[in-house]
Amino acid sequence: MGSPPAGGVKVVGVALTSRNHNFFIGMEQGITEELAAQGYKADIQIAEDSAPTQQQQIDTLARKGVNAIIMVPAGAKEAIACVEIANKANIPIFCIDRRVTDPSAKVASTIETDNKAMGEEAAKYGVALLCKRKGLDPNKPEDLQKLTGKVVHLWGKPEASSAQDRAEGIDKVLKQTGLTVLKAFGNFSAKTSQEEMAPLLTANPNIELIVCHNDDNAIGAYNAILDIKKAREAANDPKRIILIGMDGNQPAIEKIRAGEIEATVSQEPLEMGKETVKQVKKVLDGGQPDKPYIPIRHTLITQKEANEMKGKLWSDQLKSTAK
Amino acid sequence: MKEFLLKRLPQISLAVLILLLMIALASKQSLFLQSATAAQIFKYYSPMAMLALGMTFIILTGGIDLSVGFVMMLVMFVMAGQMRDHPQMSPLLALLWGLGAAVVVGLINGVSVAYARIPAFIVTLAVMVASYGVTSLISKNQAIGDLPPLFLWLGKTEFRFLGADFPIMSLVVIGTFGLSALLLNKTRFGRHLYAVGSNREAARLSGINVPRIELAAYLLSALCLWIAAWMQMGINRSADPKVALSDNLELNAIAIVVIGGTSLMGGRGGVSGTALGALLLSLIFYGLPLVGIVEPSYKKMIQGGIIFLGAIFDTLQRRFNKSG
Repeated sequence: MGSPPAGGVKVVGVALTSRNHNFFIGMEQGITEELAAQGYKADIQIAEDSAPTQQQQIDTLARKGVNAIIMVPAGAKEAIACVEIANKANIPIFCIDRRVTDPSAKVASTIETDNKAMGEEAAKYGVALLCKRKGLDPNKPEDLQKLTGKVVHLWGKPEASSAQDRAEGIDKVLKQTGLTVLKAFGNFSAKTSQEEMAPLLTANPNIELIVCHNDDNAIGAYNAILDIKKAREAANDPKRIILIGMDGNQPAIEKIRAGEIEATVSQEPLEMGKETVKQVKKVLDGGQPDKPYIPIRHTLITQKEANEMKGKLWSDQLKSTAK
Repeated sequence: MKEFLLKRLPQISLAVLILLLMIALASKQSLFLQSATAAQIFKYYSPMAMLALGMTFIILTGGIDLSVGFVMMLVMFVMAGQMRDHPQMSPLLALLWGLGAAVVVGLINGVSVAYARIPAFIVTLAVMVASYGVTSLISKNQAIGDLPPLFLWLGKTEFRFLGADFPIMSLVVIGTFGLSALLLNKTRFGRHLYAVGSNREAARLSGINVPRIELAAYLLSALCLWIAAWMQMGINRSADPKVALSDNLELNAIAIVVIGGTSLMGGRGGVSGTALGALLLSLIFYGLPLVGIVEPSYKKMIQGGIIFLGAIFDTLQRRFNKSG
């Protein structure tokens, strides 16, 4: 076992799954900023989405004798082994984004967004806009049943737990309507979404709403709409396809500000990172975390919010992206 | 006549397969028969065809290039990154930076394979991973938008033909495939390329500068992937740092070449087969969602199945040639 670092400064190991998505970059920024604010030192490890790599990194952090570990699990099942390593070394471990549920693995606290609720909110907003267009009341179940037409549920990666949870929320809302749901798979990629949506839009010219699992999907769908229809109709044009994304990424936020995409349901990665560090501090100060599971809010961003909250949205505050 | 047919067997069976697929798609979705289908297939799958064209030269020499997809992405980001970091730069110069990057990577692959005699498989695998690293460094995992008109021109410009908006990429693809066919069939370089692929030693003994021919194949492929990178930015209206990650671009290119009847051992095949292979794969990719089949699992199974089928054809044909 290594000895605790000299000088009395406590070190927090930060085991991230990757930097290949702004969501994780935002989370990292939230963690490092708050660690610095609390006077802790950060030891950052990136697992490149590999669970075995992450386990090695947690092992190394434990051997270095860090005071606490914050982990964004690379795999939900494999993370159990990581938590066990920390438990054995008596280091409190905190998880972000993914739950580790196993009786043998003790996580101090898990900070998460509710992906199912995000999916629900995205679909609800899309359905509400459709209802408004047709003079129906989205709060009346019988009016929802009267809502007919075609909607595309544009999936991300079918094997990703975030996609599955978001899908559950979207399906729950769409089931209560009379809408015909077409599925498509965009692989969380703009290119794939564009290539999949173009033939779908050609075969179904009467699609009225597209609910996407993330903003990359929404950007791809937006490009496919431009390809097929040549232009985006005005916001109040009944022929315009309503487009809803999720995550709150910068390119989508800019399209929302420009009135090209209707809305996104934004996560709060910066806040997730900061909240985790606050829980770490409570434990390192000798106390207990607030709760075993701490949900972080998500926000519907339409053109109004995108403009009003300019500079305050998480994607506006990212430092390490090139803009 | 019989010999001609036998020699063309892979292409003929592929053409029949394409015809059957077209009939099946058309019977499920009448829209399929409109000229807009052809226009859209060119619109989305021209870069894939260009990568496959480059791969044809390499495989004809008996080589392979696993790096094409990721290098294409790298080239996109060299160009888009220049514009992002130096907004005053002439877009034409930025495009040439991309061509330069493509050539440099082509030289690394080509020199390692042709002169240092390192197996192509391992060189290009290494280059594939390294290019991804460089791409993430430039992109910082962020798409680059607001590209100048010249960057979007190749992928976005359309012309009216048969009542549909065809992308000018269709002309580029047809033109480059035509030129490549001429290069392979009508020039000394083409004959030498086939000779190197058929039998490296015999080619060397007959006085052909074997490494130079092999290097040329990798450089021709670099040129193709630069064009593909330029196209892709126009299609997606941005440089997307996930382009090579979400689809197996190199696998598609290899699948197209192999199902087109070009032998993985080199020396046999050509551009016409690659054109048919590209048509088959893009018909599947575009056609399945058009008739309502969207499960990504099928796409993966088809990608794998086509390579497998092509490899079986290739082996059977080699056996047949030996015994006949």
